[in-house]
Amino acid sequence: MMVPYNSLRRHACAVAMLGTIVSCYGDEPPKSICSQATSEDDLFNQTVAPIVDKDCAPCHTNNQSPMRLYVGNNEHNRTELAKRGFIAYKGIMLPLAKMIGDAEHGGKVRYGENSEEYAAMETWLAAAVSEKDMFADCGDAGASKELWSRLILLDESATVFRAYREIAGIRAPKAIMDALASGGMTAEEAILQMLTEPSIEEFVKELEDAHSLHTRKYWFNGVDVLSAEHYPNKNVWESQGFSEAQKEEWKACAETAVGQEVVNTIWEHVRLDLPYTDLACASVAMNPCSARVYYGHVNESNSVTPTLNHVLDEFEDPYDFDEYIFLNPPDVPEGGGPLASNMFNTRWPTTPTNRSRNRAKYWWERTLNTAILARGNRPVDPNAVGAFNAVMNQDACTVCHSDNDPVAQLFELDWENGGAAQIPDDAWHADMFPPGIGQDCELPYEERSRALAWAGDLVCEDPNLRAQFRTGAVARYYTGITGVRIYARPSIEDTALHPEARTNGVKRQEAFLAKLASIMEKNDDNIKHVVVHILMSEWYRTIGVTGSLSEEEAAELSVIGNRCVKNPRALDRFIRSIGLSWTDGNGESRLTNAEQYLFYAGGADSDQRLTPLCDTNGFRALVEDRMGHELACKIVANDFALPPEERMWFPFVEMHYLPTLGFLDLMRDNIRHIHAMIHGRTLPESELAMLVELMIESQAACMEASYSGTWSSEIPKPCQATHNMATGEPLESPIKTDPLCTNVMWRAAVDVMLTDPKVTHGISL
Amino acid sequence: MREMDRREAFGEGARRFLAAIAAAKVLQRMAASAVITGLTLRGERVRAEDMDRPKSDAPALVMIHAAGGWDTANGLDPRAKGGEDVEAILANVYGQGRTAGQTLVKTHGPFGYRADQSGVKAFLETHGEELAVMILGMNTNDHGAGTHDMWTGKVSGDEENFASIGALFAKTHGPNLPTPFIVAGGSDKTGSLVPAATLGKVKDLRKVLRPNLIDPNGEARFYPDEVATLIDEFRTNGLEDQLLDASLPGHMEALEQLALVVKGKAELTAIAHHLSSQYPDGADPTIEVVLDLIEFGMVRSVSLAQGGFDTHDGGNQANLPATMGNYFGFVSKLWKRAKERNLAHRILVVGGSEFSRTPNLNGGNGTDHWNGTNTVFLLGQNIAPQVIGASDGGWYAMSLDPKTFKPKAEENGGVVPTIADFHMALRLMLLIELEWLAKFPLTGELDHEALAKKLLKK
Repeated sequence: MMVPYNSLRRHACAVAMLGTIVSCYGDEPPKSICSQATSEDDLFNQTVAPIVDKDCAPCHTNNQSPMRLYVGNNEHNRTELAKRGFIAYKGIMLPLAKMIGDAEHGGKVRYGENSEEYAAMETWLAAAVSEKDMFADCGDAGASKELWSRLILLDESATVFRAYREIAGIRAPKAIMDALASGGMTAEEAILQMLTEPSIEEFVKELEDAHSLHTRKYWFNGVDVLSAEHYPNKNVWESQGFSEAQKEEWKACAETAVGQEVVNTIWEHVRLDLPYTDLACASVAMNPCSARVYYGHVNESNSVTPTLNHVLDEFEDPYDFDEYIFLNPPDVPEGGGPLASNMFNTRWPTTPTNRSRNRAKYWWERTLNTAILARGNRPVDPNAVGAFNAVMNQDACTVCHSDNDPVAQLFELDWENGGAAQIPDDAWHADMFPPGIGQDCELPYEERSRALAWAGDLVCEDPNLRAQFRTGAVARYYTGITGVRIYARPSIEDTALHPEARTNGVKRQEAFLAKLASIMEKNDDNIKHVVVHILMSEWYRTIGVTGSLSEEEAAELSVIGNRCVKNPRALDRFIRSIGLSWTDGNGESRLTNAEQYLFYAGGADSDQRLTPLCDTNGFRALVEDRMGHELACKIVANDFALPPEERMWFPFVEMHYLPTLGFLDLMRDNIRHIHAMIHGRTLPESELAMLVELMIESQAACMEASYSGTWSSEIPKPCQATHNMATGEPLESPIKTDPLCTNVMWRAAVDVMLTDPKVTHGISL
Repeated sequence: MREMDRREAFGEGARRFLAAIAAAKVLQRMAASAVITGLTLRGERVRAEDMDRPKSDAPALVMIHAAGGWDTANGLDPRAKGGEDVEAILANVYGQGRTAGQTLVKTHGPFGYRADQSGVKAFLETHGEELAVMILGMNTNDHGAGTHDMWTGKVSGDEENFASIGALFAKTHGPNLPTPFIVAGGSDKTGSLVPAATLGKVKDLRKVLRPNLIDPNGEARFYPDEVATLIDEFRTNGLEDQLLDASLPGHMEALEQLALVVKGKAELTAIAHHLSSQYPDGADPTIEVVLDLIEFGMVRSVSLAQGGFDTHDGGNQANLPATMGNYFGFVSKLWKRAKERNLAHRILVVGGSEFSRTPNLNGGNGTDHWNGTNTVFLLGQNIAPQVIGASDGGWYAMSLDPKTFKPKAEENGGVVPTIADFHMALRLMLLIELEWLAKFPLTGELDHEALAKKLLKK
């Protein structure tokens, strides 16, 4: 049911007289993680120690007690209790759970939840845990610091090389690597340089889309899904008197500019070094194609907004497909961020009963780094929510709905269920919490026609909300680059061993994320500085640890290290960075196309599957096998067909070089060359020896098969070199046969080097 | 309860399915042993594609998700026999009323079906003797959370990686397989117990499984078989070396899993030439491939889905008889083919959806999300035909006696059955390892052992 909007009862977020938005959340800037001065020891001595001495220590002095406490020994008691503060039991700190008898406690229930003693313990524990949180970044790491200093990191050169492959999708330029080697450039500078490469666009868009946007579904047919009623001239390519070729060009431009408007908006902020947090209140990025789609019908006679001509005047060159301006379509209020866009709201339509709650869930996640469904467990008894409108009237429901529904109302005001923008109808749902951000921050009446834009402005203006937005961005890039999940502190209910040690690892991660947020803020919210610090950190570079690990140490370090396979798109990018492409006859990528191996390789398409698989499996392993086979097949004969000085893969050897004829050293050199080309670092001798052995055995086995008649000396057709790969011209001396089995031998070597976990996984080894 | 005790507790009726489970454990130990000792067939230089892969006796769990939240409150659920509750339904406060024609239910044995749903009727007539239905309450009306809850039994956010029943079953009965848990819809929550694998286009599977064939329909190979074997061995040995060198727990975990998969993938290749290349008329390729993989013991759990149930708009709602017909037609086809291929005795099918639909129609003549009740079912040769639970005039799940499962008012000790209750019974039936039960605990108030016994034939 919709009721007139002006029945809103209160405006918690007043608009000041000069139009400055007053923060809903207070205007103090967020505290630095290292700046929180606490005196938790004083607090303990004054408020908790008397309780411990009186009611805990008398029993806990007993040898049978797993936690020993002693009357009067405040320092010892404080340490013991604080250690257990890091352990959660059913969502509260363990000592508190013991006090009230929620967790098994020999002393049974000592105090109630509303007692002064509980409050005192809770207050102190919060301070103690908060203070200890800072240890990782504030120089008080103790034994834990020693452990983390034992990590073995990729050297800076290899780090930069790898980052170029994985992030930029290209080989690190020689000039950069030389400058790095000579000390003319630091690794940080090299990475900042890398982040200016246009090819970064692909990585940024993928990373952003994979986290809560999932708009890829429309990336290549955005115009197609737009409302013809709202945008009657949307098929702009039809009305310009274009030739067929021009039509195709403009259609492709328009479809992708509209379809990718969400990620384009983000990418333009990254590319132009704009404050990333400005995204919260940004308009979408529009190029001359999408501008014509959206504004094609707006002329002087019907204009309530800028006309098409006005809009085109904003471009330096209205025919430059690569030029973008920030401007929302005529029916969408300026600002509001990428989620106030046609593509996001079309991708996530809603229903009369869902009422944009799903959209709001994503808004909370993207904008304020809040997983709304994690706010609280839903009631176990389904009939407990049987009361009328439980989502407004029952605590178990309002824990989420009180915050989510107001944002959902913002979407409801701006967007139709199907996805198109709507003229605000001056009404809101009376049986939901009023529109706003959470309960305490209502949308002012006069802002109702730009509801999401109002929310975006608030996030941009309020330092605390902006900090939350920043925290989300940091977490997204951290996970997207390192492949490491953001871990929660373990609960005592977890069966994982050594929860305290594991907690130390999680705290290390928390401290690093806080440090990244601080770095981002200090650098005008330029996300590139965050990327640099992630790439230079142990979270990206660790390849091992010195010495053996105790169980506790292993538990602490269990939070570091990428466990996942490269998702198919990342693997495809890595392969392309080597100068290869794994495609079908039409040039379609085998790895990224849902019609080919995307799903078998564990990928996601943001439609049928939203998240890629982390674990490997039999299908994935076999896809990797085929990738290795097909790529090696393409590489070997074609590279040998070139003059040695032009060869990328085999500059040191010839096809007739056999390991038995004294060419072993040259073969080794060539293997080292291939490894360095792929990974930018030295091949360990043990791996080299294994590769040589594989080649020798493969060549011998192939010859044996030839003699026995089960293998032909004719190279399989797809693996022959008949045309120059660059020019397409027929080769004067095609390579079609392999009488010595050296083609097979080198294919085997290249094959296994391209399917090594260092390539296919995110693991650094 | 010890495993033998648990097995005995279910009586003779469950013997065949449980025997299949026991056989799976033997196979699993053998597979583990082979992996440990390196006695793989590949090591004997047998061309993987030519290996005479024995057919398996292992059990399999097939989950079929009705995506969107299904309107089964009067399909399978016999709640409104003779229309006695129709007035209550029409008076429901949520939205507009359905017409009586859309609520009246006919019955087949213990089951109900809507008069206009001939597909459901046909399914009941064909498979009713092997079908058990349970009516329970759900705790969400969110698609993501509902899918999570339906297949894990855990009421929590969809972001949590709590192990689904598919993952638990695969971990218990086939942990060393390269593809123990295949997902093509439904839930892929693994709880990090086993790797999930996703199915792509069925037509491409033969090509995926035989990487050394340039074209799966031809004979041309990239390498002589002996060289392909050497490459596989290199990878296996290389991984073992990398594993020895690895020092970070995360890297070791990933490499261990990879080593297991690389060793096991030859078994997948070995069945490639057994995959059905021509199907009987009207066969569903996905069903045939799933049954192939089950036949050769390559998978323990499969999660499939059929869509079309998110019937908010009137058109989709009007199309519901066809949607239900499609879903149960799919289940029926799978079950018939499983029988024809002599696989049914070791397969248990579980069906369900994220939640149900509102009793009455919305303004657009569609139905919206409803957590008051939901319908789940089991289909198997050892399943005792029955309906457990019911829904009331307000279309809420009725409370039951926790031991007899007869309707009983809550004030008299009755308990509303939940998705957790269903899963706890299912976990017992499937002999899920106690270790995993402890790691992924559920709580429910019914007597789950009694429920598991009741669901199985005596």
